[in-house]
Amino acid sequence: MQIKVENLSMIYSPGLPYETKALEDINFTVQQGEFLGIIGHTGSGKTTLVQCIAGLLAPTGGQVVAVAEDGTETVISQKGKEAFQVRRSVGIVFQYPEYQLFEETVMKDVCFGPKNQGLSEDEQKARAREALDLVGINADEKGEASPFDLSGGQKRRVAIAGVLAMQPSVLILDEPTAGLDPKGHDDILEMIRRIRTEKNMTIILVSHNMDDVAEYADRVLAMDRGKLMLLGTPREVFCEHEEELRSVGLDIPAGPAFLWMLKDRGLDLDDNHLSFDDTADEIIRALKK
Amino acid sequence: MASDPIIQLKNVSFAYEQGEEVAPEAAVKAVDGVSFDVERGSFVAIVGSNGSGKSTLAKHFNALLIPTEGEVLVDGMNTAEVAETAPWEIRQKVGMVFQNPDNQLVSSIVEDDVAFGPENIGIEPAEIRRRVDESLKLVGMYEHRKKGPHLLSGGQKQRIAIAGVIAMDPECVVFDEPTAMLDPKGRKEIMSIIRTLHSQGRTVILITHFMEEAAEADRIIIMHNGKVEADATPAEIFSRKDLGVLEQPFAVRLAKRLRESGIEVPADIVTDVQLAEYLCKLK
Repeated sequence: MQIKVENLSMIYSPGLPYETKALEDINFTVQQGEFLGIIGHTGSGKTTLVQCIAGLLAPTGGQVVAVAEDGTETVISQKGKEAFQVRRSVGIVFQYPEYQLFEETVMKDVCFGPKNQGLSEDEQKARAREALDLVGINADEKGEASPFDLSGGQKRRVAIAGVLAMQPSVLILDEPTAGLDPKGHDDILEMIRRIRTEKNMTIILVSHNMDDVAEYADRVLAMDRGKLMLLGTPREVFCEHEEELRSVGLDIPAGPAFLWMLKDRGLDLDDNHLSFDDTADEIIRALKK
Repeated sequence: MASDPIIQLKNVSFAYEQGEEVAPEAAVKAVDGVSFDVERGSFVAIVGSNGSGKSTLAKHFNALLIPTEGEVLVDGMNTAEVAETAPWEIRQKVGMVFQNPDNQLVSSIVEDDVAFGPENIGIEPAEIRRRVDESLKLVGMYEHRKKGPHLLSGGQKQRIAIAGVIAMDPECVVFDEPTAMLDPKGRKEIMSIIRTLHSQGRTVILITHFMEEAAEADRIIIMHNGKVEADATPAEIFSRKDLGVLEQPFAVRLAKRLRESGIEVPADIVTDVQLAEYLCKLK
């Protein structure tokens, strides 16, 4: 399933003194199986954007279109059965998803989505097992445990499994690593990468961490005050447009940020590098010159 | 340097209540036999994985929790004794900023929120006005003083929460993952406020998962399973290989790589700014 965002606009409280243009004329396309990173400040419209893509919000202008393999186009926010089915194929994991756990056992919690989809009990359980397996939780060991007795990182995995059990073809994650320790952080991102490879799932990752976006995403979309500011590969966005990102106060990954810092202090080097290795090599080259 | 601790932990243990069926000696200790002193005016970072006991420990610094074993002295006062009679004496000395700013704001107007603490301890109105203005200026939120907190961003709300703590004029401020919910700009603003507070001579205790933030402290304490696993300067901590929970900051990893290719970098360099300044001097 391909997602086409066309002239998307969203105005909150139209006509009131607090009228806010959260999104203004956004256009882009996400291919099936692509990993898209979305960056931007608090208040830049990232969350509104992903909520429109998931069909949780109906935009005030423009539309989000889901294009099926056979070319059928469905407007995500429209009424009717087709759009309802399409919305089910877009899963969204909110910030701090573990706050949404509510059932008595891990198994029941993960079954909640499939149950609402009207699946039989056996199917629900099969889905839940598969989803728990994807997030690295052993259903035999933890299935009957209360989700509230798990560690922070495990709770988050169970919450993500709850979304995966609905077998979405697009998975949206809003800051999935917030508040986790460095190891938990890396584990979650590796898990997302694995799920994407195994299931050819489209991943849309909203993140404040530029290093993560640079490492994991195929393309990066930068939002600024409701507008699409930049869209391109991590190299294009972070290396060719770093001045623009800085002008709106956005970070760039640690490598180019450090090169920039050296350049700013008068060292003669090329700051057009993204990875840690390339950054280190460039500094060594500049120092030994 | 003569030792002048503001906080002393003496063999502190803490176990959350487990219900009646668990015998007290079998209860899991969230904090287990921790002892250390925090020097007045120092900047200490506490790191450790989720569930290592960092936040439980932090709540002992201003008597929000009383140890189940051992004792905590704040400026010489035993928290277990003072908590019964005059806990505000401790909380005036040690202020606390939590992760989620939404849980810390109480008023519908920014300046009222900042005035809440001083009003509660009976400060004169003129002095409250002075403290509120000064605190809001320090966190860069003075222009927003008449606004409602709900109209502010997460980073701005966190700055209001900090202003509310500073208005109490504490000697020590404990930050429990203050930047976990903020965007990069918000994080930088909070770190800059932390540096200012430290430079004013206040004691700062920062609990964080971000090693770049911890690298700025004078001292890092690593917690693991409720115990202190390591307690040393950032340079020493980041050069040790046996500390599993840690991720090395960018500058430390880069310095290591440079050394491997024959460029000398002193071991005490742990932040980006230190490394950049050093490298630029080489050329």
